[in-house]
Amino acid sequence: MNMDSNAIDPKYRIYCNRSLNMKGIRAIGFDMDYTLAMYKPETFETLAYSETLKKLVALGYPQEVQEWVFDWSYMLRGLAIDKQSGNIIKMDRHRYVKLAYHGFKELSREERLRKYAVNKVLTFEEPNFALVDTLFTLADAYLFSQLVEYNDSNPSILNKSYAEIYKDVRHAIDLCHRDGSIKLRVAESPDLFIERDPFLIDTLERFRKTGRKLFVVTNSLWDYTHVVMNYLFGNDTRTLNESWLEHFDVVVTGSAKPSFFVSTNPLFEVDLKSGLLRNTEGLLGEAKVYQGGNFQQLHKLLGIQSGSEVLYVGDHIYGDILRSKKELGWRTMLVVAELENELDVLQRNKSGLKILEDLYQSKDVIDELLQKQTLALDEKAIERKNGGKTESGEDEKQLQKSIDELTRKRAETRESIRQYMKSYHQEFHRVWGQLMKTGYQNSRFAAQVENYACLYTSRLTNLRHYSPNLSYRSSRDLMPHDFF
Amino acid sequence: MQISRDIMLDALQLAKDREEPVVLSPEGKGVSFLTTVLEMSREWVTLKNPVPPELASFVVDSPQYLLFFRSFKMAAPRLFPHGVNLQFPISHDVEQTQSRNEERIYFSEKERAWIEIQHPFDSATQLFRRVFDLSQGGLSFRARVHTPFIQSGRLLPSCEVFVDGESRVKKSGKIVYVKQIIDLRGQSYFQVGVQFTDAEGGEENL
Repeated sequence: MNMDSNAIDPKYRIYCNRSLNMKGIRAIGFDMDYTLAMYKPETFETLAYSETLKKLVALGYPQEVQEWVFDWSYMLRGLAIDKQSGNIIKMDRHRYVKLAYHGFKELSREERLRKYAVNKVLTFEEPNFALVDTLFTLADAYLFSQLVEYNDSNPSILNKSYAEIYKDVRHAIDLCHRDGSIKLRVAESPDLFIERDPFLIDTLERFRKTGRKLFVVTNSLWDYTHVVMNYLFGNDTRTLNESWLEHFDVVVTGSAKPSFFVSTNPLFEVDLKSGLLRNTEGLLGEAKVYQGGNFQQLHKLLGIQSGSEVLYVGDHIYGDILRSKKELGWRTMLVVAELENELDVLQRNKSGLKILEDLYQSKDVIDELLQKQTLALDEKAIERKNGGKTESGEDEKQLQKSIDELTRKRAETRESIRQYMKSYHQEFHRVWGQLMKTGYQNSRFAAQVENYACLYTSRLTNLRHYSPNLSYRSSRDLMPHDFF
Repeated sequence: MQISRDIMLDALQLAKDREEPVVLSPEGKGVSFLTTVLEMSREWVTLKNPVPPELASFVVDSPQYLLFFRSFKMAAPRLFPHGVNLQFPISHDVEQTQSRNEERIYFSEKERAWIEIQHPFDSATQLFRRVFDLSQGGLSFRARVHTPFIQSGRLLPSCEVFVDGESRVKKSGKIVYVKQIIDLRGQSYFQVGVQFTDAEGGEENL
């Protein structure tokens, strides 16, 4: 990066995977949920969870599930749900499963390898797997694990496969979002569920002053969007005020992302008072708030010629980032709220990483010595046989003894690494460890962030720390051989 | 300790004949170079040039250069090019290093020697490193990266040197220096010098 980002707290920096010159960006778009509006997971996800339980009971699940308690901090983004086996898994960037739980019980290494051996052709994608790739889905995963345990203990009560249970959970959650169970409660007291970022207006205005067009593309419908945005922009929550719209050029609600990026869905104008929809055919550009539509109409509304003129900021790696980048060539910024904790712990936990580095060096030294000793032993055996001797000499016996001893020490070192690695990861998250790593490798989530997000940061208002015309530069790509 | 020129020249000749590694340190640069002696006279020692081209300008403005060989340290105000190699002028100011003036055994990369060190932060953990050289007074080992464990002054409660699985020395020690070294292949690592702190009481089988 060409400015002194070292002066910024690492938690609030913007990290660059793919170089991006902001001078070429003419429009900046935002998702709403978990991007403009940062929900408080301890209240918002708990609300989603408890409303879902009610729906499950209505779907025929036993009354007692309504007494269950949600631990909102138990799950982590980047996990995958194995719908067939009732497991939650964490993978590295090679899709190697390094951590797996059945319900809330950790699978042993042997169980895990049996189930997810590398040579098995598993794509970890729908329909057998579901990704926990938004903060909204943390409650899905937790509830699924609870129901898996319940089903295992009471097979005759539910009498359902794990896949059927997952389907029910998804159905119940969708119902909550559709019938207003969640939205009505948020609308009643948004301050309970949404964090108001005091820097939001300043951040947006910095870009508007440079002539950039700003837009919102959200899957939420107008009524809910209006409530949330009204609160975010500092208005009185008792009365809805449309003044927040002044900060944007276009607002697309009910966008049905990711199909928004590929479909030709019709675009409707939203009547701000009644919420009713009007056909927009031939009238593009006269309104500010729309519903549905597709990217072509949005480009037209913004006067955009090419996708590379758009920077889109979102929280959903698939719905916001991957599709918009792959299909339209939009430049992307992913909001990873968890980065704040991740970087806090990373700074605190540097010594843990150093001890692991000490141990990895030990393992490398042992491996190198074992290789040398094994070669030396083979050479001695060949020499002896060529000399017509059958019985091993003292030097061979000593080497074999040393190999055996080093093999034992290697096992001890590996166990030390395993223990240190576990406690190192637990500093980040008590169950699933570091978000961006699985063991020593990048996690699958990190790999997706690296592959699809041009920029990533913990919250969108971090943009205010940087010049609106900054040229973000990625670090040099390094492969293992580059270190020599 | 000042020593005679003849003793120093004998030691340098021995280092050359045995192809022992010597260390060239540009003062104040925080990095040293591992090299070997190619030729020598009473006035000059010719060293294989260990400085990668990209570091040449960094090294060339050093106020002084030090050459470490066996247990000796020699200083020169500048280096001279000698074809692709370097010439180091032999000065009259030669010192014998205080800590380890005994005969040293050097272990090449081909040799199967290592040290096991009780981790100073976790007594249950043993660390393994390649030994570079060993004498009765101490040893040095290599570390790939710098970690808090290799700090000058750090006490090491237990260091045991093995060659082909046979224990040669078991003593406690103290880290007396950590040098970043670049070897002739351009690879960088840290050389960590350890002075034995129980030179009398430990077990030895040198």
